[in-house]
Amino acid sequence: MTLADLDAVIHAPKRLAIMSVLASSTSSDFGFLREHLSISDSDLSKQMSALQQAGYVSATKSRGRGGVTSYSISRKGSAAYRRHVAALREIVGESSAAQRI
Amino acid sequence: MESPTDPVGALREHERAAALPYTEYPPTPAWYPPAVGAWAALFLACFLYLFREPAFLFCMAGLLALEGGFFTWYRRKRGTMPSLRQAPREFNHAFRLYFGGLAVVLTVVAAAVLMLPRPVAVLTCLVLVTLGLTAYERVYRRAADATRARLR
Repeated sequence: MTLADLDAVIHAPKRLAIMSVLASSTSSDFGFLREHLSISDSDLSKQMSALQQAGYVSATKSRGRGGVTSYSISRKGSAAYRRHVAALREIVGESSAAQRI
Repeated sequence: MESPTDPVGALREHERAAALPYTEYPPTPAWYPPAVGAWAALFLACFLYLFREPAFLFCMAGLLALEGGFFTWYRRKRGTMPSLRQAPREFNHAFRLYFGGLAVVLTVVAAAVLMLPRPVAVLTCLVLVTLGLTAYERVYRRAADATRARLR
């Protein structure tokens, strides 16, 4: 695997962090992502739109006053995320091996 | 955050973010272990005293609705729910303890149902579930602290 195997959508650091949270949770709220990834409202909205457009994430909004938007990773997103992380690990492994030689 | 061209930094950030659903949670209220213990004791009492009675179904429906309401409230309060996939390695011990403890509690409660008077079996269930959850909460908190310290 090489840099070319990295997923262009997930490669942005904030989107990788978001995908990492969603991959290890059944779902996560907008507020949780904003607070723990230290991303502003507008920036997080923008990143989530990009992930939704790629089909990597789905959103549900709870009804009633103060409705909360929750996100979960899609099957396509999960596969892309796993490939991306595997590519990163491969690259890191290769560069560590090259440094040892 | 790291530069997108730094794979080592990206992997570190990925690991830190993936741990968040496990490590970031509101403090567990003190009433939680005894409340779950009481719920489990009521569940057992329902079987021991009301099985084959018309009230049995109402009792079960009420307890299940209570459980569903609790999980909905807790999920909303926490803002996320760990999927148990890619849990940080510090949690392996906590999960082993949870499932091992659950097996012990179920075995002891089953033995109590078979060998002891019904009120004693219900009380045993209340005490064991409360103590077991209290111990698990402590182990889970230690695992979360250790994970945060490693990924800081």
